[in-house]
Amino acid sequence: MSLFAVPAVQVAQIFAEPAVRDRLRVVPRKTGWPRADDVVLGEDVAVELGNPKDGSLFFLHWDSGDDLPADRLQLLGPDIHEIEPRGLAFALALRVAGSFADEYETFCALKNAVYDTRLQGLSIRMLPSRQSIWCRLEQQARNHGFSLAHLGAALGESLHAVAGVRSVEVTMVVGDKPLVKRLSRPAADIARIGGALLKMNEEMDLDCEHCEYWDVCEAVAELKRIRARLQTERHA
Amino acid sequence: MSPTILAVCGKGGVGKTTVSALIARRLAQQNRRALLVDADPAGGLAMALHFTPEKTINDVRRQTVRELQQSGVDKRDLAVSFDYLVQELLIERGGLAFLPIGRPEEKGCYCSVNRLLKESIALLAAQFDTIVIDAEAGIEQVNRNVLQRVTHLLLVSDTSAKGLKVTALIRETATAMEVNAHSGLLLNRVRDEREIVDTALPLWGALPEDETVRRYDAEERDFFTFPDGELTRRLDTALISIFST
Repeated sequence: MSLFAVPAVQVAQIFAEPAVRDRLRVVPRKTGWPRADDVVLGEDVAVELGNPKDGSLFFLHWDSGDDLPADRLQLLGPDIHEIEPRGLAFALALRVAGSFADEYETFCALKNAVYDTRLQGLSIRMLPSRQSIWCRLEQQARNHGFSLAHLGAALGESLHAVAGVRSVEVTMVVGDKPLVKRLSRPAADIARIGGALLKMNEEMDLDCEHCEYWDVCEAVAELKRIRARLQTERHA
Repeated sequence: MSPTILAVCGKGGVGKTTVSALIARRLAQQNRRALLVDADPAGGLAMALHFTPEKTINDVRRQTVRELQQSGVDKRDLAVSFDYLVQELLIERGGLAFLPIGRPEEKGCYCSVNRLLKESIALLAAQFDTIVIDAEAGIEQVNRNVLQRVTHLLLVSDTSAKGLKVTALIRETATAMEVNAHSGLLLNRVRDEREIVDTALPLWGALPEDETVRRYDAEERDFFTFPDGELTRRLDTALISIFST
């Protein structure tokens, strides 16, 4: 069973609800947008997604992905050229499929791939502890036809650079604050599992009795297996 | 192009914050893209320009250190978090942005936190063509290496011997710290031209005692609305001297 099996099923169930599914559209990838680490200031902003005041969510999980044979880019809500108001709620959900030898290494590599995805005219700010993503697109980039399909494609490219990745599903929710809020529940479970994975790999002594992730490790079989493996390795 | 970074320094009470606020007002009128950094723990610049920050850089630092003490945080997560939190702190008004530094950091070495935080601020600062730092009173800022990237050190003093002595000390300290910045003196609250004395520092300007400043301070009025007059005309002349060096 995969590390994120339970919350991943919950995410999939939300996306499969007719009211959600019917609004999800598969969009073709757009490649070739220049990469640059830009900071977009307020007066240059054309579109703002995931401002802390508007609702924001980012999560990433991975599995063997037997049902995801190829990349998929989905969008619920308007794309950049369809956005009238300046600020909208935003969720970015990334599912990565592949075979990975080490879960911890995979987690770090996938996170870094996302963090390193920087596009010209788009300022992406992320706050892992709050699972927030805050994007500001400058007017010039909008005028030049920037689309969320460019962001999705760039994220896909970055994630494919990680060893073992076979396919990537990028789902973006724009302007649906209640849906962003609903997704935040399974996303919080994904974050707790990721947090436990990081902690058990970064701390030499596993003091499970006093650990804030104790309940997560007890509940997720795959985490239990990793913890047992690490304890064996460290006592060897 | 690298931004012009102007640090406004001097003894407490000589009018650094008023000068910083009036410079901000002029930069706004000129549609310059400027970052205003309130490095005085008293937060006077925020009050003078009616910015109302909810948190400061030092609040973020304290919160992060607490989190680090409670449980391990991945270093990369920390770096991206600072980029986010610095942007969240930023108050923007047209082309101007305001960043509050807050109370000085407490004892203890959190070098990695400080380094990542500085990198985030530097990344943000690079987006502006002018940065104005309303520095803490005295020479503390120099001691804390805040001035390492400053291009212009604006030493503000009234005409008192004490005020002038502090400006000389700040310049000496900056020189000793190898701060490679142009520095000059701006005399404030000059009541009589005969009060302008020669010092070792180049004189960038002299501002007259001004009743409107006193009224704005007393009534907590927004310095962005400060009317043009002799004071602002003299400051404009000083700014030409400063930015032409």
